[in-house]
Amino acid sequence: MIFSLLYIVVAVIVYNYAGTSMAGLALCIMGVSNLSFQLWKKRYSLDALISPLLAVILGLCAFFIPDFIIIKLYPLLISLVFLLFFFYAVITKKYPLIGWVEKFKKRPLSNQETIDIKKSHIFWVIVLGINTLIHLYFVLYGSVNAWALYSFAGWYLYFGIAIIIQLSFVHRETLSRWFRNIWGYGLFVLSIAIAFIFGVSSYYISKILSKPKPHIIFQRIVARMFRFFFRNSPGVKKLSLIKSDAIKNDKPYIYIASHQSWLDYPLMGAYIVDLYHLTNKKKAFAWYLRFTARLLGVIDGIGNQALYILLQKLRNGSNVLIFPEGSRSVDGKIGNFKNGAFALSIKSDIEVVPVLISGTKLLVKKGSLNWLANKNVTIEVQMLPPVKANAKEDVSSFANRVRAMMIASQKNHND
Amino acid sequence: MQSDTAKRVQEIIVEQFEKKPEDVTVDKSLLDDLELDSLDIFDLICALEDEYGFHFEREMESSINTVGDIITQIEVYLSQK
Repeated sequence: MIFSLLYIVVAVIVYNYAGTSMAGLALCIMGVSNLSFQLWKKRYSLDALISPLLAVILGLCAFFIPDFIIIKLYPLLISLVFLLFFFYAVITKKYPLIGWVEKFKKRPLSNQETIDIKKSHIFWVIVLGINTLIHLYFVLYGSVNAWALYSFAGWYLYFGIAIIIQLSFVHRETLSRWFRNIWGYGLFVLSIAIAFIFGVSSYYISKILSKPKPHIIFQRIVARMFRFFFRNSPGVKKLSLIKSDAIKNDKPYIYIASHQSWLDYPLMGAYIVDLYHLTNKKKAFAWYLRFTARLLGVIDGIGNQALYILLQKLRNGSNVLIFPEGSRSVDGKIGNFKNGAFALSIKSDIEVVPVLISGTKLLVKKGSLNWLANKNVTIEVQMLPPVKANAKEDVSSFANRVRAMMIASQKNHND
Repeated sequence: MQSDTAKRVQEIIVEQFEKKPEDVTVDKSLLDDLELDSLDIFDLICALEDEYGFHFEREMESSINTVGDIITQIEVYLSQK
């Protein structure tokens, strides 16, 4: 096959110096040499023999009838033979590519791979059909140099592109997953970067102007960028917030949210500002993250120290976000609650706002960082009316009451 | 010999977080060894408040890292009561 690459180059060089007959003779000699080599190697297949055979026949014809169009026919006829070969395969439903690919991969193909390869025969009929027409155009209307250029290099480029398209089709799921991940995570990083640039400058301006709680302006810009991120993320059709009228903007609350995906953090950050939340990181953040984490409201403390800080923040009029299940739910059902968030409410005398999050697990679920292939996903944040512990109600009863309320609202909403 | 407070604190941790009694010893770290998170520690503090009637904001100012830290702080509180 590599040897046949030289046919066109040698034929054109000989044609330029010694005319068509000598070019035909050169083509014939090269064909005979190649044919002998293939037979010596006991290669009797069509793809091994067709090229040298045609070179011998056309070379002889051009030697006796010195018209360069005969030599020009060589790549056209090869293309035509392969076109007919694939066309015959489609008609008879005998698919040679399956055997070739299995030989290349050194393993039997899966069912899906076999289906994909069968389908690709039609694709190759079209590719070879177009290639044959291009060759025909160069035979009839192209100059010798233009014909030589396409026959020597052009069609390799054309087939290279066709192979890339074929591989993209076979590996479309992997490619599509990469695409979704690059889109989703890229957009997230971009949103954070933009929010950081504008947010930090606004934070310092607020600080210089001695405004109280300068982190609020940072969180407002972050919230805007997070909403932009969710609206434009792969698979998202709609982003919506259903907020109870009983929630007042000038009051602090402890937001108790259902948890399905890591995306729930930015989602809550998209709607609540002056917000603080916990981290389970045992060590302090690295220096380059510490500043941003602090502005985002991540409490730099654990255990009882975190409880002190959260109480302080609530008494200072800020909001707190807690996912009371402690971890993400796999099936979307609300799990058992830990009492901590409700103890915080009783201690601080601040109401909890139950929040139902839906849709994020359809984008990225627990246990995987891959962006899922779901489409038309509606991301919804439903903030229920604020709740307070009744007089003499203990922490566990309060937590169970709020959990039951959230389950009922989730059920009503789904119905 | 283990004090009554130590025994009771151990019992509360075992019951609340489904741990084996032999794993809950004074030197064990709440976060690293018992794998409790901040919310778990909130729960534990609430349970201890109910049990001993103290107010954590007043009586548990210093950081509690191990089971021993909790026992020490409760014993200090009980001795001053």
